[in-house]
Amino acid sequence: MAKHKPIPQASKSASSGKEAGLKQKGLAAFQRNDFTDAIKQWSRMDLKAEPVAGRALAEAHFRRALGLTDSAQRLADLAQAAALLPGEGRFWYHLALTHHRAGRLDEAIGAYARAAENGFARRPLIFARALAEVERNPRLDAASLNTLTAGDTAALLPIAALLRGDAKAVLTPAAANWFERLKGQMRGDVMTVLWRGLAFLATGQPAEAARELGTRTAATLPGDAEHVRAFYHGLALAASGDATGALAAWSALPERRGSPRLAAAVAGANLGQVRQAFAAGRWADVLKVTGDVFQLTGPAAGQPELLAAALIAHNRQASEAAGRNAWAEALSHWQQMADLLELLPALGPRDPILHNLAIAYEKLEQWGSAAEMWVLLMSTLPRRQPKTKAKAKKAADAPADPVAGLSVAEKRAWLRRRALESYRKAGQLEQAIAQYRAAIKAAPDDLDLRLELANALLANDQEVAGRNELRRILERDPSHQEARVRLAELHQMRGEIWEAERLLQEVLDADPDHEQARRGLVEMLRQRGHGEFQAGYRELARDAYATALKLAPNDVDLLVSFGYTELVLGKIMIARTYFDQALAQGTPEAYTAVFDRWAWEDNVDEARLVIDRAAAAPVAMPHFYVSAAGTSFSQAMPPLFDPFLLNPKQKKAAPAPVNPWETLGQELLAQAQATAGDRLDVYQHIVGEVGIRRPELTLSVAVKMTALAPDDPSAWTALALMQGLCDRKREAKISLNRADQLARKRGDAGLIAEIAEMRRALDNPLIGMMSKMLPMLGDDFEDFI
Amino acid sequence: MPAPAESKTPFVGDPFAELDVAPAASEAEIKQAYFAQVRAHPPESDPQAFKRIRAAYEQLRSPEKRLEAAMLRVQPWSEPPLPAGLAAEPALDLTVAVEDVTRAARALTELSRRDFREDYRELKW
Repeated sequence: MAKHKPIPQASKSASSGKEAGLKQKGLAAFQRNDFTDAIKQWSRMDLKAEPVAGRALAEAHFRRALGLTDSAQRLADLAQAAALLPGEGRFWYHLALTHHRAGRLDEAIGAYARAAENGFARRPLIFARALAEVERNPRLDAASLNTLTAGDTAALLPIAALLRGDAKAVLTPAAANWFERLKGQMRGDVMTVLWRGLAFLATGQPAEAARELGTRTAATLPGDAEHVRAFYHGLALAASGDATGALAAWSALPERRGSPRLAAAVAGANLGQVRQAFAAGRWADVLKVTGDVFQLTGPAAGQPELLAAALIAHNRQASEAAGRNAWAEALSHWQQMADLLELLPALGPRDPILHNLAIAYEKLEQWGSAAEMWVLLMSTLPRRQPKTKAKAKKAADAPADPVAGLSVAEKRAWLRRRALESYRKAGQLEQAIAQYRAAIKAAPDDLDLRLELANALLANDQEVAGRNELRRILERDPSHQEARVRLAELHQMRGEIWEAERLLQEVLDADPDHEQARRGLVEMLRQRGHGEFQAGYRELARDAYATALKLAPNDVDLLVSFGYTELVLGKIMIARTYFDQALAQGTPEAYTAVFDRWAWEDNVDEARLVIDRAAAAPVAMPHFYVSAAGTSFSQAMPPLFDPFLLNPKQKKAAPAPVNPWETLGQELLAQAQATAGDRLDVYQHIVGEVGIRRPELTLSVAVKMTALAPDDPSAWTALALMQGLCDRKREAKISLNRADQLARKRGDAGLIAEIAEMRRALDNPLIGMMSKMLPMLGDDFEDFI
Repeated sequence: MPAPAESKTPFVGDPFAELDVAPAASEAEIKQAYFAQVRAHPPESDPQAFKRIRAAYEQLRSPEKRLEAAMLRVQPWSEPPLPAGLAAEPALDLTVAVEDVTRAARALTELSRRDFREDYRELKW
């Protein structure tokens, strides 16, 4: 057997010095309630040599345990303390409480016993141990637990009965004796109320339960017991039909959120009221009740029935309010909907609500909030930059809004414009730019954000910075077509049409289906074509139209413009082909445009053919006849500045009836009137289109307008204009007086001013003279004067 | 070619609903709907309705105006189907839960107590 070596003196001294150091360090930690450090120091001591250290270590474990909320850690510390000092009853008692709280009843009962054995004589131990026994076995005869006082036994009997489901036993005459014995102890009176109330409820007597549980007593229940009483009091009231009382009882509960049982009870209690209000369409009542419920339990815990009912009620109320322009009211409902849907997205889409919120903010001129809402809505759109080009295209083309029929790109562009406009109105463009810059700093590769910044800069008139940002996007991603389109728009605004066209063509080369670029390029080419034609460069105009037609082969205006250019260039066959293609589109506009082109070339035979084709097609509506009549009368007019026309003695004579355009004009006007019936809009069109050139032909039409709409001031002004142009000044003034009365009755300030202007014109001899030139000036009369 | 005189009454409301067309309707469909509405509400017999119809039509005539009208339209929210629970008689669960009895009973003990500093002992070293 090996012998222990004797410890050298010097080492022994060093060892005791180390022990003293650990002791002191531990004590210092203990004094500052750092039990973990104290345990660390004292655990390194020789506990056999220093039994006091063992006691100190046990106390440190005990104190640390009582400060812990984690049951397992607490248990470990208490077990350690009990192992170090097994004769310390208080350690066993707390070990028992910890087991008991965790529902480990066998361990709890064992530990309670050890505590008692080791002299822990606090009275609550006896009752707690007995309660653990009853919880473990509710059929146990409480009277058999010989350590209990009569009062303890009386307190346990109703508990045991309720735990074993024998609620009737609590309401028997025998139970009355239990409660009699309880008086004056263990909060007996109030506990009696609680147990009897629960027993009434469990035996299907909610009214009695409500009465019992609502009984006022001198003493109050301890925390958790009061919570139980208040909950079941509310439940009993609800079951008795008193939903309002139930809500009041439940609102006294200290812990209301996160309890599914309470949420279900609250919902169940109020479902009847909500159902009735919902069925009757009393949306405000639905919202009152559901609002109370949600305030009590939180909307997340609400039952789906109530949440759906609340959302529907808010939706109906918001729509109704918006319908009568009560935007503040609508806003409030939509805000609550947005909040509910953010919490519970499964209940429905949130985007339409955000959209409506933005509209409401705009209506209320809360521009900053409107801008934020439009931006928020933009962020809900699918992000750009999916991994593959095919996916990118699919995402951009996908309809974002099936209602408006817009693509994602179209919707994003619209939202962007709107948000910036709102920021501008709020005077917050600078802030928006600062926000975008900060966001880009955090995510420099987010090209959507960079595009938003570029747009904000451009909206803030920081053109150079905006253009640079767009170029930065294209440097990072040369395939970013949205940035390229935006850059093209910028060039177009600066009049750099060729550069704009080049950029849009690049977009289309990369993505032939890019609708925005296609439309933009078509418009640019159309404008360029019209400009070249006006300037006399017919071939250049034809080339521009031809390029545009490749992108928009069915565009009526382009077909007609191209055809007309060819016609002017003497290529009548080609012109006819393109005119035919335009007519094949079947729109009234196409027939009118082709008719006009033949008229401008003074080809009445071709013009008549267009009329015939229109009559055969289902487009020959009165408006078409009116437009064609206007063109025909314009063609029938003699050239401008005929010196005889300026002779005031010469009466305005109708052109010779042999003029084929005059004949056609008369025919078309008759046709228009024949098909007009009593349609005011057609008569308005006749007066506007023909009256300005041939007032004598449309005077009767204007009279008919006033007969059809005698209270419409614009009908009377139209009549006054025709009368004035026919030199019937006195009658014109009477008509204007009537128009003025009606306009004042309506409070139409714009029309009143217009009528005053007409009065002055009637009295002005210069205007009177110029009016004789009307037939030649036609549409340009207003510009001329 | 001047168009028919425009209504001076600004349209308040949903022009798509007024003409009974979908917001995604084409120009031709809108025009067709407009004429149908005018036929149903001739100006001579229903001038107010005609004015509304005309004003609504004015808001939808050009693609730009149409887009604006569509985007500034109050968006419909598809209401969820009403849960069956709202149609049924409300049911309250009146069960007295064992957990609640236990919770109340334990309130009579020290199981809910938090402060046990009285159980500390002084160190005697």
